[in-house]
Amino acid sequence: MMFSSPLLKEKALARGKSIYPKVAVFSEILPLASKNRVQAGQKPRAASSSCTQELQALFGCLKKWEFDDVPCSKQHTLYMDCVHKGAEEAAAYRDATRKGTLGESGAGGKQSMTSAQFNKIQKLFPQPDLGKQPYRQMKRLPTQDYADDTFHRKHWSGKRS
Amino acid sequence: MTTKLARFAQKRWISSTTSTSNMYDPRVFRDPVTNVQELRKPLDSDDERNFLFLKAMKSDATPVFYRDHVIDKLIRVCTKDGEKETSRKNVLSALEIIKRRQYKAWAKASEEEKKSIELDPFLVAKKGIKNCHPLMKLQGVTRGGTTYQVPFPIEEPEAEFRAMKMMRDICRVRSKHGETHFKDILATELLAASQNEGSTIQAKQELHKTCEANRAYAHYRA
Repeated sequence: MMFSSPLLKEKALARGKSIYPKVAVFSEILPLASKNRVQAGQKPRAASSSCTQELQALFGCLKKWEFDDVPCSKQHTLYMDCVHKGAEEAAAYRDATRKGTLGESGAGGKQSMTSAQFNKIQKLFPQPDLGKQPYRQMKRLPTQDYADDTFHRKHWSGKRS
Repeated sequence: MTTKLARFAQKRWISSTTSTSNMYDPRVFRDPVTNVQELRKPLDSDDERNFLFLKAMKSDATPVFYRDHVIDKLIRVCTKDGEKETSRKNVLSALEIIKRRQYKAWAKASEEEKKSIELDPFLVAKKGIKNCHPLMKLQGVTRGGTTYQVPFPIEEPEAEFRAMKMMRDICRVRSKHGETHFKDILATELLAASQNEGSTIQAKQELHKTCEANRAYAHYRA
């Protein structure tokens, strides 16, 4: 005789888990706002090409001629051209980063903003009341209830909410 | 950190800038004219050099027709203990030896061989140095506590310097303890290098071989 659904014989259900995928419900506890400034995680640098192909061609030529460079001048010129081009691009990228040039697509067709550019915009248009007391993060949203005590301030001295 | 470094640098223990003051007060001294064509022309009436002092001319800037950038650099590279005049004597003697050897070979040679013998020692030396230019250099790069010898590309002036330095070191070793004179071995090396042979060319090829062996580290070039 069957007292329960055969589904419960399944392992997951037997351990008390739901068979449905887990549902994550978003609720905004803190306002989703960044600071006025972001830190560059890494030193900004252009996507550098190390001219590997040209270098391999040069080494291939050198090996063929027993490391005499006179017959390999063409490969060497190609390699140096590549190196110079890379250096130029890196310099242009560095300049753009330092100046924080706006309204341009940046060096090498890169569309994303550098951290310097982002900081420049943030400086021009700072977020209102950020960094002043009461901090924005500690502000109750209209959707939040006083009784929820979202910020654990129930026992704090001073202003309520 | 930055201020500490700046204070450290301020005491001129490390300095990346050129000296801002020397024995010549920039208010009353001007650079001398070293170009022969310029020298023949009269100075403009409003030229400051009419009434200000001139700096002494550098000994390697004298206006002579045989001025040669490569030879001057070779003299500078071969200088030891600041004795540039000695070094100049050595290098110019080596050029003279080259000239004598080439002329001897030229005098002995048949008519059609004579055309292929280069008699100008300056051209021979320049070609020799040019043949010794290395394509790359090896530079230590530390990654994860290990220092790798990474092949780096070099520009023309640095390649020229490294060629001269390689040749100088080889000549110094060979002329130790009076085995030969520096000028003799330098002349031999320059002549051999102009034919694309000799110890310096071998050293250059060794360097290329090491670079090729270390090509796997090339991506450490930051």
